[in-house]
Amino acid sequence: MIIETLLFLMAGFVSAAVALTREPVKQAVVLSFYGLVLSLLFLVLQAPDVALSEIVVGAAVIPLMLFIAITKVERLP
Amino acid sequence: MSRGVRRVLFLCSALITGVLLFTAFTELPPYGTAIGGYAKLIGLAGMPERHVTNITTSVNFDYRGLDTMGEEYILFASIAALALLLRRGSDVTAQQKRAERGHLRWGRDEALAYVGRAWAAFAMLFGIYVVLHGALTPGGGFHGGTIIGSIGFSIFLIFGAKPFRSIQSDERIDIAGAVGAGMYVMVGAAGLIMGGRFLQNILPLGRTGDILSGGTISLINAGVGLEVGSAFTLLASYYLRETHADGKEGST
Repeated sequence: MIIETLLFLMAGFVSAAVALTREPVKQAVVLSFYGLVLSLLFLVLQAPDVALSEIVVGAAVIPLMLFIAITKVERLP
Repeated sequence: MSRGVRRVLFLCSALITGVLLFTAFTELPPYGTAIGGYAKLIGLAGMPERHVTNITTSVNFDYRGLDTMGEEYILFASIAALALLLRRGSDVTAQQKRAERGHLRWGRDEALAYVGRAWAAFAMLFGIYVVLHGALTPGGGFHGGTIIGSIGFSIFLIFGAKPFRSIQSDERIDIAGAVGAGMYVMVGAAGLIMGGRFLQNILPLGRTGDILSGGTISLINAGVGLEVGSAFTLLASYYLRETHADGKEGST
């Protein structure tokens, strides 16, 4: 019960932090941390399959895709 | 519309939405209520009927196998669309290409490389384990496939572009992904050929707790793992080619 409440609150705070970070590169890093918090939340809510997927997709692939897109956009004339 | 007007408009609509949301939340059932009888039924019937212990996998690949087939083909189609969009362009001048090369270069961290070798091997083993034990433990084809696919990204980040290119060839991974995606439909069609329904579980079910239990579930698991792993590795390869980080030309 305590861990669930804690993780819910953290998810709320970190999602606000993601929205309030203005720099794209920093936002990608905070998004990666948000993916980790979400996957822990899913694990505690007894959905381990979803937690496994969320770790890889939310904490690794999405921020990487963002980085690559930012690099691409910065180099356009 | 000026900035002040926009702000007032946002605050009004946020207030209304907030009040509506709050009244909706107070009328929800309490936290932790089990909803629906189908979940209970599947929990009771999954193991005797299909001899698997991971009920989510049995729902994904057996009871509602058609939906999962659509999901896998979403991934497959999006990677194919990426391959189409990011094909190599030929109208960039040579000087522009030379100027764009060498944009992303970083030194190699020895400690990271040391750990990275061991970690890549362990992650590959762990990914294959999660795929194979889809019917028994949490995980399954899709989850193990994403773990295998993330190894490509990490090898590029730790070791640089050349080692990544030397172990990865687009054509072979394309073929692997297509084989995995086709295996799903083939297993379903085998059900049709044997006189049953599409995606019917026609193989012997085996003993609960074995790796090869669940009949067609293990086979579909392997196919989906292959397809998802290859899709993520191809994603890494296309995007990294886009950023010219490996010196090759991308699409612009």
